[in-house]
Amino acid sequence: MRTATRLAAEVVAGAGLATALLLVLPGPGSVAEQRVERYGGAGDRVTEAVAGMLEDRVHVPADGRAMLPPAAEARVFAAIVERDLPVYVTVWEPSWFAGYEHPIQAAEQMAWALGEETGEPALVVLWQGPDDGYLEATPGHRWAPEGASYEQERPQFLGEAGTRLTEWVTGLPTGSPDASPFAASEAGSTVGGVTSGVLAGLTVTAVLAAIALAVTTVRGRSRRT
Amino acid sequence: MSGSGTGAAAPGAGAVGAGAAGAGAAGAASPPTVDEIAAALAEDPVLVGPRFGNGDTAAVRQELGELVAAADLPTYVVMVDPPADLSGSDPAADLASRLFEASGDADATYLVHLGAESYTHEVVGFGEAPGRDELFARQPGAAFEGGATAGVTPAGVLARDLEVLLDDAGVDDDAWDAYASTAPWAETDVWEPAVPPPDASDAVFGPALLLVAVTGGVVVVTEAVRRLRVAAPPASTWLPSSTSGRRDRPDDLHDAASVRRRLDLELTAASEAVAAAAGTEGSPAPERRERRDGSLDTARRLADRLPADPEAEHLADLVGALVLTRTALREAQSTTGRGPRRRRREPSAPTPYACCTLDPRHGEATGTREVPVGDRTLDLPVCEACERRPASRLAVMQVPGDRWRRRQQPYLEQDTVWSRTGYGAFVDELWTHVADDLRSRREVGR
Repeated sequence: MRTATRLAAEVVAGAGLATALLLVLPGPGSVAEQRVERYGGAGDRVTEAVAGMLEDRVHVPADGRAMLPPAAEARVFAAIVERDLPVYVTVWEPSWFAGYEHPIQAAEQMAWALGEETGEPALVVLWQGPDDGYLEATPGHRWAPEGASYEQERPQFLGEAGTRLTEWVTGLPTGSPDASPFAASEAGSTVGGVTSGVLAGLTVTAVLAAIALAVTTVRGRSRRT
Repeated sequence: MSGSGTGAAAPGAGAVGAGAAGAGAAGAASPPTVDEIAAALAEDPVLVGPRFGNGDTAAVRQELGELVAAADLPTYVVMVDPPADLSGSDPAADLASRLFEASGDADATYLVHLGAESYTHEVVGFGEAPGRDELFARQPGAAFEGGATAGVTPAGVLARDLEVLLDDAGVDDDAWDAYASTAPWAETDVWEPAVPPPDASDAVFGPALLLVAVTGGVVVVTEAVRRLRVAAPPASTWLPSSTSGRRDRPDDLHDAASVRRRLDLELTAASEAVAAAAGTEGSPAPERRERRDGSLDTARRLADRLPADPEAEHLADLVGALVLTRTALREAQSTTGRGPRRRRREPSAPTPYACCTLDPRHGEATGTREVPVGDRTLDLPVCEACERRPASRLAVMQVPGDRWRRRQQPYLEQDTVWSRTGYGAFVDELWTHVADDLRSRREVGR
C-alpha cells in the first residue's frame, strides 16, 4: 500500500473512531444546559432574593433589615430608579449554610436569574456588611458603564449600607442614552473555539508522536546492538 | 411541654410556626433572645431559618419535623444566631439549659446549632431524654472529631444525631454516610470561581480537540507499530539472508530449489568480492586469507556436485555451501574493510561469519543459547530470533533422513559433516572438514 493511501486510510479510521466516541460518550450538554447547570439551581434564599429584587429592585430580608432600614432602602431604590440603571440590591447577613458555597456564587446566581427573567443583563450588589459586598453582572457580561471610574466599576462598599449604596448609584455616569453599561465578558473566549480545540488536539498528537518516535528509536537501537 | 412540643411537630405547622412567630428568632439580624427562641419553640419544635436551610429550608424543616415527631420525649431543633450573654466556653449547651429552664424543667432533648458562620452545635438531654452521652454511646463516630461532619451541613448533622437517638442501635454505616451525599443534608458542591461561563465556543472546543487528538493518535500509533514491526520483525517470520544484514522473507529459502537459487547468486557475488579483495588487498592475516579461499573453493566444489534442480535430500549440502560462501564473503570484506565489526574489542576486524546453528538459513548468529540435542545440552550460536524465541518453539533445521527412511529429522541428529561441525559451530575451520568429507565421498563414490 502506498504511503499516501495508507496514511489516508489511517486518518479516515481515526476520524471514524473519534466520531463514534463523540456519539457514544456523554457530552457536557448544550451551552444552555451548561449555563443552567452552573448558574441555575439556586437555593431558596437566593430565589427569594431574586423575587424581591424583581419586585422593587432592593431586597432586604429580616436578617438584613438592621443593615438597611426601610428609610435607607427607599433612598437606594429611588436612586436606582432615578438613574434608570439595571442595578439590583440585596442586603442580608452572611451564611455558610444557605445553599451556596460562596457569596459570589449567590450573586452570580442572582444576576443569572435576573437576566433570564428580564431578558436584559443585570447588575447585582450583594451587601453582607462593610467590606463584604459583591458586584456581579449577568454571566456573559461585564459591568463597564461609559466613563465610570475604577472605584465605580469595582466598589469596595465600606461604611453604612444605605449611605454607601445611594452614593455609589448616584455617582455612576449616565453615558449616552443608547450605550449599554455592560461589555461582553472576556470569560469563555480564552480556551474555547474550533481553532483552540484543533491546536490542543495537535498538541496532544505531537506529544504522542514524540513518545512514539522515542520508543521506536530506542527499540531500534537496542535491536541493532 | 412534651405534648405541646411534639404536637406542634407536623411539617406544615412547623414551617408556619417558624416563619411567623419564629421569624424573629430564626431570621433576625439581631441575635434573638432566649425568650424569643422559647416562644418560637412552643409553636414549632424545629426552629430553622433560610440561613441554615441549605437552600431548601422547607425540606429541612419537614424532615427534621418528622424525626422530632418520632421521638418518645419532647425534642427541639434550634438553629439560630447565638443570643447575647451565653457561656463563652459552651454556648450551645448553655442555650439548651436556658431553654430547659424556660420550659419549666420538662424532660427534653435539645439539638442546638449556633451561628450561620460557625460549626458550634450540641446535643443536650434533660431528665429521661437522651443526650450527648447516649449519642456517642450508640454511634462513636458521632464525635465531632475525626471528620464526622465532613460533607454534611449542620442541619444534616443534627438530623443524623436525631436519627441515632431514635434507635438504640444507632444507624448503620450506609445510612450514616448517606447524609453527606443526599439532599437536603449534603453540603453544596464546591464552587469554582475560575470557571468561565460556557458559551458557544466552549461547545466546539472539546469535540474539535477529541476529533484531532483521536485521529492523530490513531495515525501515530498505527505508524509507530508499523515502524516497530519493520525494524524488529517477529523472529518466526523474518530471516537474515546475507552477511550484509539485508533481511528477506523465509519463503525465499524454504526449500532446496530456493536455496540453490540463493546459493548461485551469493556464490557469484562472493567470487567477485574475493577476486576484488585479492587484487587490492594489502596483507590480510594468513589464516583469514586461507579461510577465505578455502571456503570459497569448497563452496564451489560442493555447489558443482549438487544438481541445478535439487531435491529435498540436497538441502543440507546446499545450506552448507551457502554458509561457506558467506564465510568467504565475510573474509573478503575483512580485507576491503567492509562487513560487520565487533565494537570496542575489534574495531577494525570484521568477525568471521558464524551461522545460526539451529537453522543456518536464519543467517548470522548474534548470540548463544543452550539447546537440547539428543541426550545432551549444547551451547549453540543462534540468530537473534532463535535467541529470543521460547524454548518450546525452537526448531532445528529439518532434513530428509537416509534413502530408506525419508522422514524429516533434525540435521543435528544425523551422522553427517554438518551435524558433526554444526555448520561451523563445533569446529574452527568449517571448510577443512567439508573438504575432507568431499574427498571421502569421492572415494566411496557418493
